[in-house]
Amino acid sequence: MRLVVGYVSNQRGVDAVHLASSLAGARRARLDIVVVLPLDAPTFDMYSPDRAYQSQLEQQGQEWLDEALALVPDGVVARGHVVRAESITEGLIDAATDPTLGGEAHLIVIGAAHQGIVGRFSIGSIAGTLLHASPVPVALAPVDYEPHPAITRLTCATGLLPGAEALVELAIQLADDWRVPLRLMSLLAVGKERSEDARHELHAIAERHVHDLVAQANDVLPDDFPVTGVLGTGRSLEECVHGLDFDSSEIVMVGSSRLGGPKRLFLGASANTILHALPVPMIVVPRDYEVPAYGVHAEAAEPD
Amino acid sequence: MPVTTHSSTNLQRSLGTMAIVGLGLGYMTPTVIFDTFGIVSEETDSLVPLAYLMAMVAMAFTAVSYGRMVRVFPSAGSAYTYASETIHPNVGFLIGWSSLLDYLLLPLVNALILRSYMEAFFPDVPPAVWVVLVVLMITSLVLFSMSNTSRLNGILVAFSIVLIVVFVVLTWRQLAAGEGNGTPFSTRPLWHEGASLGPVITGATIVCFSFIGFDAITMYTEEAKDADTVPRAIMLTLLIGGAIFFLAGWFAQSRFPTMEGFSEDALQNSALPEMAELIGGNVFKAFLTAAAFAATVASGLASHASVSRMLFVMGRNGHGPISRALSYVHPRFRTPAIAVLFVGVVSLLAIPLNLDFVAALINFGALMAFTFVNLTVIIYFAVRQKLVRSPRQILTNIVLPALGVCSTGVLWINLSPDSFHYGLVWFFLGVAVVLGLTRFFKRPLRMSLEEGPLPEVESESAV
Repeated sequence: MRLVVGYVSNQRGVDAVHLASSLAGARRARLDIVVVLPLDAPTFDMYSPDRAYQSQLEQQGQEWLDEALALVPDGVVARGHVVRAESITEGLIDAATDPTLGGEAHLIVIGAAHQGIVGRFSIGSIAGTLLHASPVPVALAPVDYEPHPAITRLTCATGLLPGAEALVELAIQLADDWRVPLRLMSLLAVGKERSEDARHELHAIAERHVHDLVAQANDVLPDDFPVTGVLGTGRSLEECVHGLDFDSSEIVMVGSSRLGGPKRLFLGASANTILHALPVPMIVVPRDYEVPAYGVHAEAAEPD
Repeated sequence: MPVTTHSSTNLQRSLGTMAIVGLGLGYMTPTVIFDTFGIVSEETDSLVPLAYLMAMVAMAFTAVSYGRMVRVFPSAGSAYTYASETIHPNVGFLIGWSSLLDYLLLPLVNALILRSYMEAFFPDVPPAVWVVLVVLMITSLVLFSMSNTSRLNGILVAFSIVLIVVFVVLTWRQLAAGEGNGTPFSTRPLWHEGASLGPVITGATIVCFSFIGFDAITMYTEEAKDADTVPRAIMLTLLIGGAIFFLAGWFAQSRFPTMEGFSEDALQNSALPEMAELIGGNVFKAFLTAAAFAATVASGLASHASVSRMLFVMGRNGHGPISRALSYVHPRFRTPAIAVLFVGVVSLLAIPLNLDFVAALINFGALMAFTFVNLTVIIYFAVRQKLVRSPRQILTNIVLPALGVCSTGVLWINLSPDSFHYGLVWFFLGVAVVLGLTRFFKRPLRMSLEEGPLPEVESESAV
């Protein structure tokens, strides 16, 4: 499994490395830590020491990379790359799709958060643009994320609307690959404006939905694999999320909006709301994402 | 064990002569002739074209010398390097230090010129407002790394030249109608009774400012097609730029034999908007000012970005708290943020200062650098290499550069006393810095603005 980690020399960069290390701890994974520098084409500005500037900037990039690599715990395989691109987002997507680095990465990991005033997540500008453009799932680390030896549970958040097949499929594959319990979560926000009957009906549909998801996972996963289902309810999505328990070492998966183009992430209103309310890291999966093969077979085929 | 890799791409360019001449003309910002016209006309008693001619002759010797040194140090083009490598690192540092003042003041000058333009259109708004707005805009664009104007450069140069041609045509029509001297063929712009040479030399020291930047194309030697490209381009840039200045100066001076009727601001800062209005009415004023405005903003962005990068490189090479601060790179914008902000703060000095004074101060450093470039030719070719065996060698290795030293030196010591004094203050500050950095010459000085170490140049016999 290849994780591309976007490192920026601030708390967000540290959060990203911590999250990537925790994810890698769960299973044999390789981190490609990436520092993105601006393109080094000559500026042709008057008296601009272009070459000296670029070589010093390159050194600064290496120093940032050294900072990042020093955060990676022993036992986790990490490589560092200084890449040049128009923007940080572009550099990360290039690194995540570069065949010379090992082909399409399984995840791009970044630190997403400013210290938000209300919730824990408030999307930074890199995360914002990345979520609109990435062809691979993006993992977002909350602010001041503490590294864990491994991820201990994977929660997949879905709604009632169709289109989450890739998301659930990926969640099942990842849980299997990481050998962590899978929790399938459906969120149902019903306002007071609905009648009592309507709310009961929706509740019943949602419970059935969760039940179906659990059954789907049990079909694929080994018999004794821990799969649970949970229905979060409340008047708003925030309330749904707040009503559930989350371990600090778990990770939540959500799907990207139906509004984004095919294979492009776009954070929909619901995902955005969940993101803001969540105290734990989150993986955002693009719509129509083609889940690559995980597990032993994929590992064997992967170049080292 | 972590592994790190680079994957940066070094673009291999091949710039032809005309591409480099275009860059050089862009650096010179041709419309600057109108900015300084009022100042120089007053100073020289209406002999602006003669002042340009004198400055150009001095610059021509220097251009030849630059062409020689470019071949010796193709990877590093600056007076600072030439002096460091052929004379002594401490001397090189002082040349670099003087140039640093120029580089720091160039963004300020652009703010000042822009302030002047805005004042001409909105005389009721306090000028400080424009300076603050301009500096804020340019500083933030550089900070967010949106300063690359190289694609715009060619268009701006072409636009400026077209408008200068329009200026000449319109002026010719006015002269034919009896305005000013009444004819473009009077020799009055070159000499008239009662004129004297001293003020013209001082005027020439000011118009040197128009040529600032033509030497910067030496930095692109490695991007040039072959070894002859840059020496040829530097001469061509000077000649084409000089011809534009001379022609525009000639017509302007024919039309305005005196600066009577111009405002105080036009005589201390930019005369461009007022001249344009008198020549071609409000429409031409708007056009010429817009062209000059765009060119000045582009130049402001480029000079702000460049000097910030330069301060950053110096900071990375140095030690101590100031160096550490200057070498800070903002992790998100990936620009040398503190250096950029520092240059922005310096640019705010455009509120109290005027173009007259700042241009002269910039020329102090530039003329010193030019003098030393000529000197390094003599030291490298005549003293080090002892290439003085034939009359031709004596001519090219001693006589021409010596004429260069004299002509730039004469301009240098004729700078207005004010700027000369402030220039000297800066220079001695530099001497103090050298003494500090070398612990009174006990330690070698190594402050590189280059990518890596330069090839060794028989440096065992430092002068």
